[in-house]
Amino acid sequence: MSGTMALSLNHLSKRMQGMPQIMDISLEIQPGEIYGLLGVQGAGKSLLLSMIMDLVRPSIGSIEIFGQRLSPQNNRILAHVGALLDPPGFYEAMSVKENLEIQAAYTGLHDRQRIAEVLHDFSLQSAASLRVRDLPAPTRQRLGLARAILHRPGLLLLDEPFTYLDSMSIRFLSDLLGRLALIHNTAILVTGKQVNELIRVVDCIGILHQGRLLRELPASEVNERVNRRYQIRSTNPQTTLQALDAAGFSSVRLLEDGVVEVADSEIDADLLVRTLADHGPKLLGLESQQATIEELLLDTVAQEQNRV
Amino acid sequence: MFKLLKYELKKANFILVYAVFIVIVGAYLTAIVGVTNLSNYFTVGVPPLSLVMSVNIFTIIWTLMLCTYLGIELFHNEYEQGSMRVFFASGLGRTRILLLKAALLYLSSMLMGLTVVLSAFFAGRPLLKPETFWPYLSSSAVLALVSSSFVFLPLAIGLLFKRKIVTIFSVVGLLLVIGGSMSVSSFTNRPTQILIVTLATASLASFYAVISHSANEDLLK
Repeated sequence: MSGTMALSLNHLSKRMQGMPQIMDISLEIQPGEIYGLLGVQGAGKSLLLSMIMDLVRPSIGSIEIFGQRLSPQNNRILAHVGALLDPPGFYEAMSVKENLEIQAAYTGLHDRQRIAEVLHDFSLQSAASLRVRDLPAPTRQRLGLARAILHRPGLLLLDEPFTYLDSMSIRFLSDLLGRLALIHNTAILVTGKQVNELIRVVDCIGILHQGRLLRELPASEVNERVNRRYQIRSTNPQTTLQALDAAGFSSVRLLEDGVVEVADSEIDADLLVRTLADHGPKLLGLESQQATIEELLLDTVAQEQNRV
Repeated sequence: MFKLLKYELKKANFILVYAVFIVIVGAYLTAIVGVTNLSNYFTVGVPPLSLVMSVNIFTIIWTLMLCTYLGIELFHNEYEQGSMRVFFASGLGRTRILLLKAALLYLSSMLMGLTVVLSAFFAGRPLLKPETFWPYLSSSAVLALVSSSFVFLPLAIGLLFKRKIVTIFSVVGLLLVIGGSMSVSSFTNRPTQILIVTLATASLASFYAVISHSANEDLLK
């Protein structure tokens, strides 16, 4: 499997009940790469993951996993994929350990020691004999993650894995994903609405909105661009707003306390300062603030809508 | 594959279901023997063949009910809880998985059918004359074999609509048809034979059609 892409989506589209749900998505993930898929509720993230798992068949386009084209007749390759879907789909009346044993049976894993290993890694030993229906949400989430990596998959798909996790578990999971990618060369596709934690581990972020992949950014670029946000205090906020608008700055808004905020991810700081000096009122303060990655998402979506 | 079967049996609580079946059939047989002895004691003269035939009807009804429970556990609940998605996503192949589950259900039903034959043997031998007993036993065996597939018809209808309640109501309808038909005639009666064989064929055919459909449909939950 070396030399081939772990996952390759080629012009993937899906229509359901006549409505386009996924539109012409192409992306590639290399072995050892962590790809973050960012999108709001209903963007199509879960549907895309279901398509990769062959649960939903594409209307147009193809999916290749480790170089093998996925089809109803050729889906054995899915044994090399681990997934945490939403909902995770446990056997509720069975114990935590039995759920892991069933997964091992499905995927042809014969290493019984491995179950003990993931129970330990995800701090599930004390819950091993409990029935899944009696577990609290965070423990269920940890079980879902444990099940996804149980058979050491080459490709890991995680649908909003940080939901329900406490800060300790989030840190543990981020580290685990990093280790899986680095040491085991696992390719990881992880979706989220709040991926601030992920930014530390992902190599690339794709922004999905209304079924379309709006933009793909390397993590380094995300780090660089996402944090550009300027807050401007002046003697006349309205004039500042108009001056920035006239100069072509997008995503300019007046906050409640009279502060004008420019949150354009592609902001040119020199141009901003020149515009304020030449056309704006007297400046009282200018400060750069850290934006969140969610704001990058909203910013990209707003830019896309403006373009349309 | 055997490992998967083991877990499928475990998921559906098969041992518990079969234990319940044995207890119910055992209790009914005990009651039959009691009634026969009482009728002999009071010289009422209940026809033994009617009593023994009732064992068949009784066990078929219970087989259908308990296999419906197994069918709901193996199919409906897995779709509803989303665990079928995990199973399908394992790379084993959807058709293969669904056929495995169907085979398991059919074997369970056959096992219960075998119990019908055994119960007919134990209930019929002391009560029937040899010339009545052996034809009765052979017709019971055929009935058990054929009726093992009955569960698939209501299950196919329920899965098509993706509703447990449709499966349950379909079972009730089927029970009324089978029970009504057999209570007014024996299995050796030609119209009943035609009905039973038609139902069995329709059951298997409809279920296979549903499996083919399910193997290709989008599974969102």
